[in-house]
Amino acid sequence: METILKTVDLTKKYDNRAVVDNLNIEIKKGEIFGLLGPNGAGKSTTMNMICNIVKPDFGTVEFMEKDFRKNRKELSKHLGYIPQNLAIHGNLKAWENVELFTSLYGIKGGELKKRIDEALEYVGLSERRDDYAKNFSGGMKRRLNIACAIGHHPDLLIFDEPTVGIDPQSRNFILDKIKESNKNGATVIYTSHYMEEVEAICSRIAIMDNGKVIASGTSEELKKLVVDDTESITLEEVFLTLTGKNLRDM
Amino acid sequence: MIRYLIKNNFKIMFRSAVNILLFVLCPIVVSAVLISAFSSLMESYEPAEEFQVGYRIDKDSSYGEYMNMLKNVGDENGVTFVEYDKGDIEELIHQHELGGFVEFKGDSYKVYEINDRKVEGATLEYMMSAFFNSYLSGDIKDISLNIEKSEYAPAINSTDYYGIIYIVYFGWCAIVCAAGLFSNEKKNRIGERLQVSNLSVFQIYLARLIPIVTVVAIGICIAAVVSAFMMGVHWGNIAISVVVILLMIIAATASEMMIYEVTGSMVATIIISFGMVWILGFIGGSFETYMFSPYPESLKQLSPVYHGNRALTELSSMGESDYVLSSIIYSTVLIFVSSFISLIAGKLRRNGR
Repeated sequence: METILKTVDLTKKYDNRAVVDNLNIEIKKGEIFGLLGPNGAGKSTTMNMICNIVKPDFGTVEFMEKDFRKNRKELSKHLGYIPQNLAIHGNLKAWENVELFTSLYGIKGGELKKRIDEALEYVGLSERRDDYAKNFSGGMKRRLNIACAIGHHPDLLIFDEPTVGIDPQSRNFILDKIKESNKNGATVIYTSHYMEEVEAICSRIAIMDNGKVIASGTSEELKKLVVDDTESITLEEVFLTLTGKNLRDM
Repeated sequence: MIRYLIKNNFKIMFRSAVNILLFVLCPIVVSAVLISAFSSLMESYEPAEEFQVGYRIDKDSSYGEYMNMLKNVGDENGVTFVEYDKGDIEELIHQHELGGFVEFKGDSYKVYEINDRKVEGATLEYMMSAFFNSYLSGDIKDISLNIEKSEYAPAINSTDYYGIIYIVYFGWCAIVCAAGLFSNEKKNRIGERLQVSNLSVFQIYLARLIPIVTVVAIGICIAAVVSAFMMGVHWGNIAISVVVILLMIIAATASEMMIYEVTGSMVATIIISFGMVWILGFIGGSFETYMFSPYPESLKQLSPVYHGNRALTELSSMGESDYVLSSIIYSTVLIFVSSFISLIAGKLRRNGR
């Protein structure tokens, strides 16, 4: 399978402590790649470096076979980032939020209107398009957060804990939509603390700790690292075995 | 590409009731209160009646040959020159209730003004300056015409003064307009989303600056129109006033955005900006009229608020002002310097993380 994104020796240090340490991961086109790790493992910093929000101290991110940092103008439009924070404006209506973030990728006029309708339809907010985002429930805000990142039809979608603090119905809806996006051709990178979610939707999973990938593979392959009988163990138990049970007060 | 970002940032700010309150209601209410409170004080600041001025001239002073001409010009404009060759000047002023005193020595002259007769002092100073400027330029015939300006130079009433000054003052508080937007962007890390797209630091800067300036300008414009119709504030030359105010709003926005870019904190920005505007306003005539202000002229000149206040009030009372140009230059320099620093800070912040 073709590689869509690759990190090469990606390193970031804060106060001389390596938060991400020579990280080498490869995401194949068309897969849903799960990135797991305890708090402070370096997941968010990795995501931020992939998205060009944080500058690496060393190493590169190759996106669509090009150095992303050097070709960001050309490549940004192929990336959709759904941050953990609800990066939307409460004082804007749903459609205005989607318009704002979709237009950043050069889409305008009639095409922009079409994309806004599509994105809102996709996340089930068409009927609430004229409502202010500040009046939405937590789940609706999460869905709007997603709509703002998919309007420009990116090839790679990065979801950073998109189901935090929402009800099971909204969570189920979002997971279904991630799978649907993947079926429609988008590659997905997904981080979450909910192991069952990751197990349910990801084709490949990497577990990070102390800035390094300590294990990667399919859910089955990860389980086999711990026990032979994969049905007797959950992904959460594998995670705790590999990363330890000590609290991470980061 | 940033058209939609500008449009939506504008909507966010325009929908805030705080902005309507600060940029429309506050200038009207504050100026109405001050107009009423200081109307009697400003009434005393009216054109001077006829008055006497003492003078003393050394025998070898180079001004001797002009004295008769100066006396004639003074007579035509209600200023009578009386010679006193002996006695203490301050005592003579009090004894004879003089409006001022001029001492000619060698190649220079010194004008004595009296604290409680500021109008006469300003008129005398203006007349002396106009007389010798005209003489040096060889335009001696027009001296009387030039001097006539002194009759209305100081005349501005409290309605025009405070009605104009508080439009300027609240225009300088422009950053408040964006406080909600910037706080939300920071709290919800919307800046990161903008960063993921391929917007440059300059585009993001413009997408913030333009809507702030637009919202503040609209608010201030409404306040100015309302105060003109409801309180009778005269703006003099409206076209030039609009240019001066608009440039000042851009300069205020740019300099306060620079503080935000450098500190990265909205609270710090509001505190520093308000402190700065208060000090600049204090020495620039926003609280105490600049005509009666005890601060040295050189200190006042440092304040861009002073240049704006003076340009606009003089446009209102005289129809023209030497301060229009200095205000425009000051604002333009502030816009460029602040924008440059903001862009550098934004770039360092983006690359340094």
